[in-house]
Amino acid sequence: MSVTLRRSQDRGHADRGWLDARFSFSFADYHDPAYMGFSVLRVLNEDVIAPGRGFGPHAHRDMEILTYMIGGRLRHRDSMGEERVLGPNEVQAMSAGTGIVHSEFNASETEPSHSIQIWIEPRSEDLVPAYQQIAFEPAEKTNRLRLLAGPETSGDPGVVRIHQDARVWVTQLEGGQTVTAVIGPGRQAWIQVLGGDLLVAGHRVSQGDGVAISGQRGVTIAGADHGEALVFDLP
Amino acid sequence: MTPGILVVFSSRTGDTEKLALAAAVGAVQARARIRLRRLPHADDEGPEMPEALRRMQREYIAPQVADLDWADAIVFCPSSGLDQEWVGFLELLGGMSRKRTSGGRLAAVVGKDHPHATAGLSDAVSSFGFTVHPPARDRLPETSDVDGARVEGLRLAIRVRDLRAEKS
Repeated sequence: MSVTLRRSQDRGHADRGWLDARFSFSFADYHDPAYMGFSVLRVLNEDVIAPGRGFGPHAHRDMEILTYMIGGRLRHRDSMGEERVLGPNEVQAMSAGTGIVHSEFNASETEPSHSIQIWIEPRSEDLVPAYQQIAFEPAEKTNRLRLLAGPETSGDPGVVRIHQDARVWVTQLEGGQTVTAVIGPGRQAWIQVLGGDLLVAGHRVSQGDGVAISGQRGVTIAGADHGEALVFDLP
Repeated sequence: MTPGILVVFSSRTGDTEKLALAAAVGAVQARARIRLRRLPHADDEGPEMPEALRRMQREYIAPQVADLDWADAIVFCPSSGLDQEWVGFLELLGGMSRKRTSGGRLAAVVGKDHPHATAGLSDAVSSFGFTVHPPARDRLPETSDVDGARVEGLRLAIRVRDLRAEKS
């Protein structure tokens, strides 16, 4: 059994003025051979983008890209003709497949946006590019696990489909409340704290912290102070 | 090493931007890296700017010398005529070609319904030492302009890769 903490302040950091980014794993100019990813989870970035600013058109290939908002709104536009705004309690999934070009800009001219971007390696290359976006009620994640993303082969309703045997949940826990995420045999979990404080496998963790868990059949997450987290079930 | 394809376009309505995006997607399909750059136009300023123009101003930057140095090949996407923004860019390109050879570098010109602009651009970049990759001859009549642009981006990136393989 293994529980490894990835503390917020130990992550990679980039400050470009309009962008304040934290990288759980190696990304762009930040490179740490010890943190190249976890299972099929390749990128886990926390981005704060200044009002009206963002990432101009750029390309992706062969990656499942999920975006979840912690605060604010992001405007997405891509080469498939999709133009959507992503807000709180929504999740976006982009299957880059054979190739996609997209831009992401803070949709507000006055408030910063705060988002998590997740890259998951797909089960195979050269898939057909696709875009999905879903919304859910805040109550669906309060004191319970709300599944956001699951494999395209599963029958999970109301989630975005990804081309990988992985699932992503979100939970927001009030003090004293607990949830338990089941981890299948031979599988691993990553918990990423989005806000507040939580107890994960007995460790107190705060905004930006990550926890890697292997060799366990489940992980219990307890609310300490308005904690919110993403929970990854990975092969 | 992965080929680098620079896509330079001019657009005020977003129509040519779609061609540029498609050409970039084609290059990515051929596993190239891409950079998309929009040429700013003198009429870009003003209170009556259409939303598409406002958005493109926000999303794109103009091509820089560093982009031209980076690129193994360039896709040119003119909107209608060879307006002032292209004249300025071609001066930049010409200045570079006088300092160092562009010979061996590939280019493609992708345009929609404006043969004068595409022919003029092809002539200009050829004079700077670029080899202009001819458009596909087997394009089907029902192929859309956007899909045609994607194919040209794909073909150009594949050609860059093939040339490298031949040299090595």
